[in-house]
Amino acid sequence: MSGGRDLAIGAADRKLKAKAKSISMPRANITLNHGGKDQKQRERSKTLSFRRTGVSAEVFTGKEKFEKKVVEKNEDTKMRIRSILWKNCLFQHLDTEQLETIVDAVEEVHFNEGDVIITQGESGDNFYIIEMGAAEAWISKPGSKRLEKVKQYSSGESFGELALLHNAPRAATVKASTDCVLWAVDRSTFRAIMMSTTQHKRETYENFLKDVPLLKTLNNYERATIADVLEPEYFDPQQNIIVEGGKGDKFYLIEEGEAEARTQGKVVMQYKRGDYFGELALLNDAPRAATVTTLTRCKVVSVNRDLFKRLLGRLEDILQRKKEDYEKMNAETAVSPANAPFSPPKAEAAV
Amino acid sequence: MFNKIFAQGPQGAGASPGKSRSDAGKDQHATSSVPRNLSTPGSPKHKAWLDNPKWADFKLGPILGTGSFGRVHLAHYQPQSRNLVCATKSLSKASILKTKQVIHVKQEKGILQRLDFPFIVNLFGYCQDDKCVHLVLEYVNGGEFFTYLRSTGRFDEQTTRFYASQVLLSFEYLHGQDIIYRDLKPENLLLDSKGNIKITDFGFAKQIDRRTYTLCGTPDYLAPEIILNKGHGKPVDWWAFGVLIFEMLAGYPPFYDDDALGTYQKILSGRLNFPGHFSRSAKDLIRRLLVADLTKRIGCLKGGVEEIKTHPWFASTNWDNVYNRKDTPPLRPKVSAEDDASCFDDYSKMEPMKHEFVLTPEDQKVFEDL
Repeated sequence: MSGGRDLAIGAADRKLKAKAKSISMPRANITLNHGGKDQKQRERSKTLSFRRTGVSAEVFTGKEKFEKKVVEKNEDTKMRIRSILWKNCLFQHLDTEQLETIVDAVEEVHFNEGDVIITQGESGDNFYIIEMGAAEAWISKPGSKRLEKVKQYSSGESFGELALLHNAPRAATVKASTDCVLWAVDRSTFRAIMMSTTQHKRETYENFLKDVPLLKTLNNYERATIADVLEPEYFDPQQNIIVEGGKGDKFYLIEEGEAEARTQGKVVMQYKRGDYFGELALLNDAPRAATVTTLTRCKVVSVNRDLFKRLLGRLEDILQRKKEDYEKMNAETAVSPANAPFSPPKAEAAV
Repeated sequence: MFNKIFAQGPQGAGASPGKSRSDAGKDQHATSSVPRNLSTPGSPKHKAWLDNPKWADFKLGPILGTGSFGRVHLAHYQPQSRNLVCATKSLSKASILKTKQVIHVKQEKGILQRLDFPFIVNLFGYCQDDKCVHLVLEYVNGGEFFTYLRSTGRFDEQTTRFYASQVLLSFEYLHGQDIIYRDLKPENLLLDSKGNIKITDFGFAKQIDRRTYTLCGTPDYLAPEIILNKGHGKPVDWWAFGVLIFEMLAGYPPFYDDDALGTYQKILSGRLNFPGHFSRSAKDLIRRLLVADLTKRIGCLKGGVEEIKTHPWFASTNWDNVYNRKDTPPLRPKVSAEDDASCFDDYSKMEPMKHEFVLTPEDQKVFEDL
């Protein structure tokens, strides 16, 4: 890209136009040949000429109370629902807890042959899984009233997942082609599950982190940043999480299960939910001082030093900075916390 | 304040972002050209503001744009013998209520009221009647950036960099006040008479404490963490910034698909296909912005926005010059007067605004503390 930005404006404009003409890619209003790729680009240009509208879900403040919804179903059914959810890209990233909460919340609905389940253009709230029966998707192209059949669904298939994310008009009409039994979940339930589970998880992690002396100096924002990136790992009983003498670059928290630390074969520590180990690895890669072995099945979450550094900088620097802040603050107020007469009475805890 | 607005020259040059404010930010970052000390609540001190304008004093001109809850008109505010050219954004209270977006409207007004930045559209005031909330905005007469991008097809790297740099400084300014924008796209960028950017439409902007949860934005520009309902924060704006650079250079967005679900699948897949003409450094920058892993997306890591500003793709950019609008914009709108609306599409055949229902006194109460 030659040419300076200090070109005369008119010249810059002309240059831009000339450039636009010389580019090989067909542009919005230029028709070149009729290859498949060009066809695709032309179609794209057509839809791109419209202004895109924003989408939004109902505002969720995170303070709403979420009541778990449980619709009884047998284990076979649950398994079927799970396997269908796993196939969908919107559900693939869910953790076990989230997936199970959704499986529990899914409701059974019935439609008769010929019933319209969802209507193109109307706003929708539900995602559907076909338990029994069959359905067909129909689309009317813009400018034409004729409906065109685009897809057939049979048991084990699903549709309408976009409605779980935000209020957008349905892309197709789906009609029951036989009597149908469907499993349905609506957006507010889905979103409430997602929010409450992620929020719960984050709060848990933040609280875990608060108890780690080495990380006491992190402020809320920094703690939240780390809580966001903790990576879960699962271990079976009697597995080693870290090994004495091994290189250490990860700090671990136990989310579920129990483990113990041994040094030269002797048990030196027991760990349960909320306990942590390996935090010195955030400072340097001194060899591990102990072997940590799981006693039960464990879920641990961890963060490694590089990642910590990328997000917040070196832990040493944070410790140093806080120390300086603290000293400065003390110099200004001339009262050290130890000398302060008493801490102010806490306000009544909000319930 | 009143006089200050009227005293402004054409194109709403506004309080010129002179050196003094640029200097204010210098103690923060050596290369930072954005003042960061504007986070005090309430409007910035020097901001021009109309107190309680009367809706009857606005003479409406042509429609400039329409949105999901209302439309924007060119308007002349004429109390007594004065005249202020402005744009009025009228939002239907009925549709705001129906789609449960009241809080977004309040956020839009509240946030715009506090902002004062060269590349962000200025809010002069607001008023309301039974049917609508009206925001009185600076009229930016060069038209929509979207129109220029689509009619040109795509921009060269120079042009793209020029506009990307103005957006970047705006995001640095917003994030410095813990505001996330959440709806970056060419449709929400206007050009002033000289060809500089003004970001408009703060309907999804939000003051955040760490993170927020409401899914909103435009499908092509949504970051993976928004689609996955993981809770999101400032990094979503840097993701969208990567999408914008891609779209300016390519002429189409990186995760383009016929329907939103297809777009989401592409966003979650993490695959990027670059057209052959992208420079190596452009590709590298985009790859570092369009990364799902929040520990790798630049803009909000330890290095902050400096990591983007010092990226090789911006090597030729002098950030102080960007802030002070010293470089000649590559696009030059053709405007003949302050209230020239010829750069905007013609909406004259548009039917008058419809309101879905009449609000009850209860409904009106929701808007009392606007």
